[in-house]
Amino acid sequence: MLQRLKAPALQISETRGKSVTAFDRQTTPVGRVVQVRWPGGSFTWHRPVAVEVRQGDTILRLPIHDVTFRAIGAIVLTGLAAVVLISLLMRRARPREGEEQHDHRGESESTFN
Amino acid sequence: MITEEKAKVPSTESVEQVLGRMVSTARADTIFGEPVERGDYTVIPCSEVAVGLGMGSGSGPVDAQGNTTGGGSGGGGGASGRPIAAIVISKEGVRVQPIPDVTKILLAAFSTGAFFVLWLGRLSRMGRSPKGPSFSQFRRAVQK
Repeated sequence: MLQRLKAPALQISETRGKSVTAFDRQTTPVGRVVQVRWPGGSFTWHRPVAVEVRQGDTILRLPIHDVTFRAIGAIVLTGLAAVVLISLLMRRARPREGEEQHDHRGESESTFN
Repeated sequence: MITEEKAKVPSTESVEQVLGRMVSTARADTIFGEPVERGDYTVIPCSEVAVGLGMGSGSGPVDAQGNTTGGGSGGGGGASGRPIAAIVISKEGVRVQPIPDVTKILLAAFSTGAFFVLWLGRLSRMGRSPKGPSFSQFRRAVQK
């Protein structure tokens, strides 16, 4: 128990799955583990990152992309970018305080209708 | 005092068991399935696994005789897993076939769209108050 508590708070390591040999090619899936530990808790995230294909002396590494994560990220970022852009345009459309006083000199109230 | 020490032993064991299960999540066979052979094709399913837990305990104030007046402990955790891709090995070569989660993507799109529409609605209402510019002013700024 004490040994586990003394383990580093953040640990990133690589795992390798079973190698499959077919058609003169050796295919090995590679994963990545991210472990975060704190007193009284822990979080582990394990995901595949690549496939290593060995053919003769050549080793080819094919990345494994998480399409769902990328699509969700793109949608959310597009939404946020639109909000930021519109906010900036709104700021540009808002009349400055000095101009407002100059335009409405002599008037008791100023409206934006 | 001896009674207190005895009472703490089971919780320590359970923490040990849970941590042991957490460590087993880090093994490669949790995310890579057994290869499936069909004709000239061999498929290795790949998935993502995330496990988290937290626990804590506390005790009440100590009385005049030195005994703790109460205490408690609790914990919680969760785990999730979903397929990410399939590795397809064939005569032509090795390729990675991604598996998109359409439900999650559509939910994210609808949520972002709903947030955007609500925000635009708030924007148009803001124009009626003296705090900000009107929606027509904003439209003119966009058209510039």
